[in-house]
Amino acid sequence: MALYSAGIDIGSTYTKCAITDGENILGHSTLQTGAGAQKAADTAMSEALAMAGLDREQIGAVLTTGYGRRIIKEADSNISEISANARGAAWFGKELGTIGTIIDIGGQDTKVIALKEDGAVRDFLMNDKCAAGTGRFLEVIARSLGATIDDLGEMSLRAKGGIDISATCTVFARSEVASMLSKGIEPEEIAHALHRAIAKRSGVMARKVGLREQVFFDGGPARNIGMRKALESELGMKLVSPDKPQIVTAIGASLLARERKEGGQ
Amino acid sequence: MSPFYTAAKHMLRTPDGPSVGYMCEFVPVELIVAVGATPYRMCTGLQETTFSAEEYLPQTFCPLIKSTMGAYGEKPPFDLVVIPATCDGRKHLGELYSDDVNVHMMDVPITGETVHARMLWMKEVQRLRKALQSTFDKKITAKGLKRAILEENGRRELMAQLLEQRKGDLTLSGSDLMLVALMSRYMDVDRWSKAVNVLIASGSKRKTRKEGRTDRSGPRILLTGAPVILPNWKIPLLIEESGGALVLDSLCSGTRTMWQTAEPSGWSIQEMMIAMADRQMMSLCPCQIPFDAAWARIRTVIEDFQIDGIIHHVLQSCHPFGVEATLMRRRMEELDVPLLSLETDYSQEDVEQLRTRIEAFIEMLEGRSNR
Repeated sequence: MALYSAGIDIGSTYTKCAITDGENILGHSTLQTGAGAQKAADTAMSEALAMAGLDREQIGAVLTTGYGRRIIKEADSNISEISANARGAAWFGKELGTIGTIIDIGGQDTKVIALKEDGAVRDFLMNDKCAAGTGRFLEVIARSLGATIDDLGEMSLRAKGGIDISATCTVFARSEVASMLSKGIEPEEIAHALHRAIAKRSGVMARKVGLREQVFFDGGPARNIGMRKALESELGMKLVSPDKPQIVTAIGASLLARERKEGGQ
Repeated sequence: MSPFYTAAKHMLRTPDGPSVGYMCEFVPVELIVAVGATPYRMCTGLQETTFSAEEYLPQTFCPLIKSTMGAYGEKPPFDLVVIPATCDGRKHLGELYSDDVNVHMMDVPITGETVHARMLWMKEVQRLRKALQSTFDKKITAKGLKRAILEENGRRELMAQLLEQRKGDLTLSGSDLMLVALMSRYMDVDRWSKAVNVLIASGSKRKTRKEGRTDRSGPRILLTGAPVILPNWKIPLLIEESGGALVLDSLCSGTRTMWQTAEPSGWSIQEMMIAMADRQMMSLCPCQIPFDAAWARIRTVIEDFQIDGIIHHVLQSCHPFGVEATLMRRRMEELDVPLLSLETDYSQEDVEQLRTRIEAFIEMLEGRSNR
């Protein structure tokens, strides 16, 4: 009988679940974590099971990752999101070409992970405890622009450029944006500047760890075309991403769940 | 370990009788002992007192300095406060105290490896001796100083023995080792030595029976960087909770310099002063440049203690240790020993974020050893 495994990535903002059989992604889900990590994990699992057409009893191994990883009941074990993300990216590397560096912009963290040729983690860096330059930052500013986070990318592509946001703190950036709006600066220009500000911060982290091609961009904000363009121009290189960049870590966790089970751990 | 846990509970109780509060390991405590006073290291790790200090200090100041200022207020209860002018924090803390308290500042040479620096430091140690003599109106005699040096050397030799036991399987957790080192500043030498002797004896018994603890068999970690002072114990605890074998620290609150003894060429006051000054000059603090001496020690430790990875602790706004992280990262590439640098303060709010980094680092080290 095939071994199906599930990875649940309980992030600060979203909870993601992926079910794999080692070769294929059979089911996946993404939903807001909200106040209860356990509830979010349960729902994410049911939704992914529904997509896969499997029952809970058919899942042979469950591994949790992300901030909520330690409080989830049904997990067989847990692992840090760095290791899970690396495993997921290496898996996509089969299709996209070997991955040298991962840039992951998450809800409250930005991570840069350097991989060895064999996909193992060589080094990594995470931003400090404030939310500057993360998905949360994008979300807060989008709200002050009266837009959603999904609109921001397209908006920023219409900008002429030349405006800078200097504040890196989410709270201060918000007041900077408010004052820009009151001066009549277009929201498109602000969206553009915002992506550049985040790209600059992520660029510093990436260079600290050392950039090696290919550079794999994942996490929810990797879906944002404006963010991607800004980061590519900051780093001076092309970024690769899978279709659903937000579930890479959950996929990695699912693969690791399987490997741990097979390894008898 | 119970004598150390008991002492830890009372570490904020300042000594009765003549006492000298000091900050930082540059201060040769033997001089304080020789004048008949009790040395007391003032650096604190309390989160709650950092807030009250913001009345006097910038909010973004180093948490250790804020915490210390908050803990003792404007008038620390000592006959004399000795502060080496190392970092900005210590310099200005001394300045703030000096209106109300008897403060003696020591001028620490910034460039540590020149003849001029050594001469300056000798003079500073002489000046401390004079300040102590005039504060307590008592002469420091050769006999008294010799006794104090031998006592302190004895303490350090015991520490060296305890460190020697870290070379193979660990018989004592790293957080306990750090507690033993920290408590050497708060327990009298006899009580401390007796308790350490017990640890050494049980360690060697375990070693001969090959009873290394299996829960301490994870990747071997060296903790470097800014001081870790109770109750701010989150970093060592997180390392151990995440499965790391915390072998050793190289912190000024821990064992960084505690293996060094003062070895005078003779027992005249002058010779003893030189030996103490030379030993303290090797404090390996990044407030001094160049980084070479500190790096040489770290390299030796990596080899002697089979270190798999280094975790470097930076306290927010402590720039010397922040820059040291970059210097280390550059040099460690040659050695192929990974480094995790963590920036934090005294709050507990980032514990889970720190845990993620530390767990990921340990998973990464485990991945290396499995290959």
